[in-house]
Amino acid sequence: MAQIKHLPIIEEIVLDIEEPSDFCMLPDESKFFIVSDKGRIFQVSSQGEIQKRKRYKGYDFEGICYLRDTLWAVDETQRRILAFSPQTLEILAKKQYRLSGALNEGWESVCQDLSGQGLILFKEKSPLKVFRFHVNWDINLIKSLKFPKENSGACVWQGAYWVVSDEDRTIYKLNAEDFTVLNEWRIPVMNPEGIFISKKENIWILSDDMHRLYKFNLPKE
Amino acid sequence: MMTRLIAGLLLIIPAIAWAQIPLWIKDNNTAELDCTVNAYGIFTKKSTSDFLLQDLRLGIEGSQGVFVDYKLQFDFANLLYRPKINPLLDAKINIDLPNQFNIIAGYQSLEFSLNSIIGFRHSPFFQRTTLADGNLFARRDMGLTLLKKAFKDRFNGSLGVYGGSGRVNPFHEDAGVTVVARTAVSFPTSVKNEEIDIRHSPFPRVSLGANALYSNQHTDSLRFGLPFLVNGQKWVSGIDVTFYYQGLSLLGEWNYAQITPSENTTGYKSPYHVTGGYCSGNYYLRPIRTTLALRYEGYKVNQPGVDVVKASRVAVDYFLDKSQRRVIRLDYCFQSTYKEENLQSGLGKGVRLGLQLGL
Repeated sequence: MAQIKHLPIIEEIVLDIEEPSDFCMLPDESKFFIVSDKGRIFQVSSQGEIQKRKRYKGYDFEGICYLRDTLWAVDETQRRILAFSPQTLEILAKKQYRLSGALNEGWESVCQDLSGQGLILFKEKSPLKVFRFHVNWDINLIKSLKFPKENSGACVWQGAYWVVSDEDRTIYKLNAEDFTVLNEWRIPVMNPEGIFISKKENIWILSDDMHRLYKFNLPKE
Repeated sequence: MMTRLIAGLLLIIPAIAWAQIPLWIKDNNTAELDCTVNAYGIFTKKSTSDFLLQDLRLGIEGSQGVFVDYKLQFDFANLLYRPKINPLLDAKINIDLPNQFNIIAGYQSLEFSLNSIIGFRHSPFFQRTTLADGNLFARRDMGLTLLKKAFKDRFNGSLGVYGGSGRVNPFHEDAGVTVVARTAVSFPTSVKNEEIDIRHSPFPRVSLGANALYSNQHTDSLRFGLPFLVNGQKWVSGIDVTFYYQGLSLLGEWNYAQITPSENTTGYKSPYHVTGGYCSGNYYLRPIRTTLALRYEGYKVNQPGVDVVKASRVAVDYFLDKSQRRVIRLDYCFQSTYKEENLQSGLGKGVRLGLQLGL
């Protein structure tokens, strides 16, 4: 059995946000955008101060990413995809879809695809499924994964998809073609829900239970 | 024989409903079908084996608009084995008020006793502790509960008033009243009434709870010989503590009750006092998705040393998949004040080997 690799935390930022569920940054990496379970979306400074907030009651935001001057979020329970303005945090457009499975097992995370033209959506588990979202708002299933078994956040970085598993407390690097696991690292974070890799080669992880952002060095493989 | 046949046939339902089934999702309105079953064979030294359904829960839950959630749930195993108990488990609406207050109205479980509050499907055992299983207080009743969460869910408080006669008849017109208050704090994160540390907490997490219950209720004792759930007045107070770290979880609960039966048929001097509780230890071996659990419980009436309940059990649970909803479970009660023939009602010594299937 391969030895488990552990990543140490190098910095943490405390957030005054309840049940944060995912986050992303704009290309200039000057601020975070964070969503939470109860329909909240926040703009947060790089020091963790809330600069702007909006609440959309009845929504269950589980994932957020940035693409083409728009923030894209997934509403897990109601099976909705939403587009937000990064400037005002207002909803620009939304669409509801049919997706089988338990209400709490809808789309859990979203990130840019490799081409930067569309999005990749991940269903949480039982089983973990990968979907492609096209700019014309069509969605199609790409693959069901046997491993990892579960994911709670995703991002794209240098030709690979990176996902974090809440239950395994593990970061997985996935092959962008077939989504097989290329590498994995255990992290000492309770309930990790979001992942983002910055240009400075740091992995940021969002913890729901601890209401914190944790910073790690990108591991050398 | 007929009961076993029906029980076997009923197992088909969760096999079909292998996952939660969304019935509709439209705007902010949702509904989904829920199904869970716990079924096992029992084995004792006297070779009195049997096959039983612990429960077979079927229900609908969902949301209506942005402020209201609802849940309607039945336990069809009651129709087979416990016809005296109403099969209704939940018929409630949860209204989300501003500032994180919630009101839950209808037939619901009471926020009292740690072991009672932890969802049965999240326990490694086939049996709740004796007193949290509806013997000291009615676990479910008709009424209103006010819930408040604060400090990022690290604080939970509730106050409830209920008026039925528990699970026997939630619509009893002259059942009396039950009042329950509970508060719990956890550190450094919120603790969501877990029994197994599935996530292998990377740092120690603890919670402390305290609760009190008053009832002056007309009800019917559901268990033979246990002098707790009786008509009359009852004060119960309790404290509980939980600890989780790296797969290890430790839970403990202690209760004190003063019981004044309206018709004293127990043989004890009225009012009588009952003290006791339980403690359990669990370790979750993540690489093989298996939990090992041990639990001891003891209660006595504080009149010349009467032990009314003393039981110890071990359990081994194997989780069939990542959902933690489909489990093969071995539950061995190796010490009990009750005889083997009472295993069927959950109190005797013996082995229960079975499955939890569903959601």
